[in-house]
Amino acid sequence: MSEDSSWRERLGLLLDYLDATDFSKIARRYFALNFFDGVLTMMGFTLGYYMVGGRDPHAVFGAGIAASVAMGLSGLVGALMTEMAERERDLHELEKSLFKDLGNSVIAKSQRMAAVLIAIIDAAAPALGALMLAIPLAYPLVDMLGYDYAIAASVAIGLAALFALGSYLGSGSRRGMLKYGVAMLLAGVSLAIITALMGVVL
Amino acid sequence: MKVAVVRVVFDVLKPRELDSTDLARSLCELNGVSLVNIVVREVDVRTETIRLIVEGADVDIDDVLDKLDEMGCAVRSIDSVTAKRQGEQQ
Repeated sequence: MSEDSSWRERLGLLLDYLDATDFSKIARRYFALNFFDGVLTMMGFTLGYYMVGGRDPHAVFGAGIAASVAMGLSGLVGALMTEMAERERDLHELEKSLFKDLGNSVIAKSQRMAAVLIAIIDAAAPALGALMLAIPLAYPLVDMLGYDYAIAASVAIGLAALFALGSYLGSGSRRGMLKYGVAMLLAGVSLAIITALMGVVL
Repeated sequence: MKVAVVRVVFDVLKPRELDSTDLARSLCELNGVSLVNIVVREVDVRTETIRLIVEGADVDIDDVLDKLDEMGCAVRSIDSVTAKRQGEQQ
């Protein structure tokens, strides 16, 4: 057996194990939850800033990017620590059942790989969601779009992203894409109404 | 004249996450192995007890044990070994 095919076989085995440990289901859940968080947080921040009279494009764009990075970092560290701890615990339970140290086994490697991949997804999802909304806010900085239009474009992208996320989640369930898409969209619209009211109150 | 191990039967405890097909395929890729048979004998919450039969022209038991170790399986016993003198006329 050549070195190359042996390497490929090991990778295949790792991926099979990843599949067996519900990796794809957990990763999908993490992505949806955190993407939703990222979009809603950024939309709430942008709308809130606008509604209380904020008109500085530098401030809204800079703070938006900083919030995206912060959410990404928080997701990375939080998920990595949580997943590592949970998977170590599972591995320890399995070691007790097998009366065997699994430290160098493909199971331990796949668990570590799953924890790292989930942490990356957990970091990328909210950052991606927030960055999508931050992009239109950069246009007023180079005079390519008016400030008000940029805010409107950011919110529109946010609502479209929420609808797309809902549809994606709905595509795998029996209730249908439209229903899930509309439910997510309503969450965004509710946020817009709440921030508008806050702008009036504050 | 060389004597080769041609059949070994193991009693193995394996994690349930590890698919028997994947295990059989991995073992079958070892040098000298041409046939692998796995029979599940007992199922637990986290583990499965299997009867593993490895056959081939020249089965290296250490290679099989290393592969089982790498895949997170615990070998409880070697229940049967068949060896054959190579080149012997029938």
